[in-house]
Amino acid sequence: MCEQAEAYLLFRVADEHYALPSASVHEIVRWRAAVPVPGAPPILPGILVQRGVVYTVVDTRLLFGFATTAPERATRYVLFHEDEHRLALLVDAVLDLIALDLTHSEAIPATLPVARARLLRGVVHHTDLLVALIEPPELLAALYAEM
Amino acid sequence: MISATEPPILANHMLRIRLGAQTFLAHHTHVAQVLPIARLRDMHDERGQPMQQIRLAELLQHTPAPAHHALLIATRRRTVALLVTAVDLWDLPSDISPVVQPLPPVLRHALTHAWITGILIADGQPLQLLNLRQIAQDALKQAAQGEREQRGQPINRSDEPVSRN
Repeated sequence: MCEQAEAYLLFRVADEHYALPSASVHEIVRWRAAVPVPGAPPILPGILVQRGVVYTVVDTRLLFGFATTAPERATRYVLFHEDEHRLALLVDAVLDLIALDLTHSEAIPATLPVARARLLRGVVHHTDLLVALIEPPELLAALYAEM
Repeated sequence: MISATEPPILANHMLRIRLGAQTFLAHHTHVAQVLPIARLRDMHDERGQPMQQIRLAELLQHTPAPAHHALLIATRRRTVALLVTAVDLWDLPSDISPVVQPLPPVLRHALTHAWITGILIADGQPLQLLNLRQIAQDALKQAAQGEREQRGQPINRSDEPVSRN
């Protein structure tokens, strides 16, 4: 890992690749049915308990502006901490823990839908993938703005 | 909202309520009486009208579930029967912490009604604590609004001034 590089968790939502700072990620768990909360919007399909901690599930497909889908074998929860928030991000697949050199990050493409652009820090090229960098505070702000 | 300075809610003397496959908790003090559903047939409320019956699963989960018991909840205006699949007084196992956790902040922000007041973890599963009084009051309001809409009467919302000519 070079000096400028930071560790990120690489995951997939629909056919797009995203990366979240690994320092915010607590654990990755296989999909299991969340317990629905009456009156919660579809973007928050339920709650999970993992090691005695209650996590609110966030359907990232809906948050990012995609249609939701049924879970598959690769579906995972990314358990994520930001301030007092404990969120379980429902993602289509977790791919790798990678080192990204952010000095080479590029501006967010103007063509990206607002639903996705608002929670990104920028994009980077990793191998042959274009990876969108998620900023945890912006992700939370986008989630609150959805409700 | 529950703050850190308020005493924790303890799950002693809770009712365990089943709606289909999902289980919830509720304070037994919110429930005036528990009855088999067949006993409601001849019951009337304080206004002498047939008891207002609300299927709790349809209200909370928007899905039907078998209903075998009625929880009678006394609101300020009238008594409501909330219909549930099953109910019992929960004898909290000694290995389960009786402390009810507050709802996660993002859920508190997102919920349209104050129907869930906290979560208790039992055997690794979250059990949600229902505010049955609030649910009964809101259900009555919804029912009254539905009746007015059926009769074609305008709906006066509490935050709008009532015009009198």
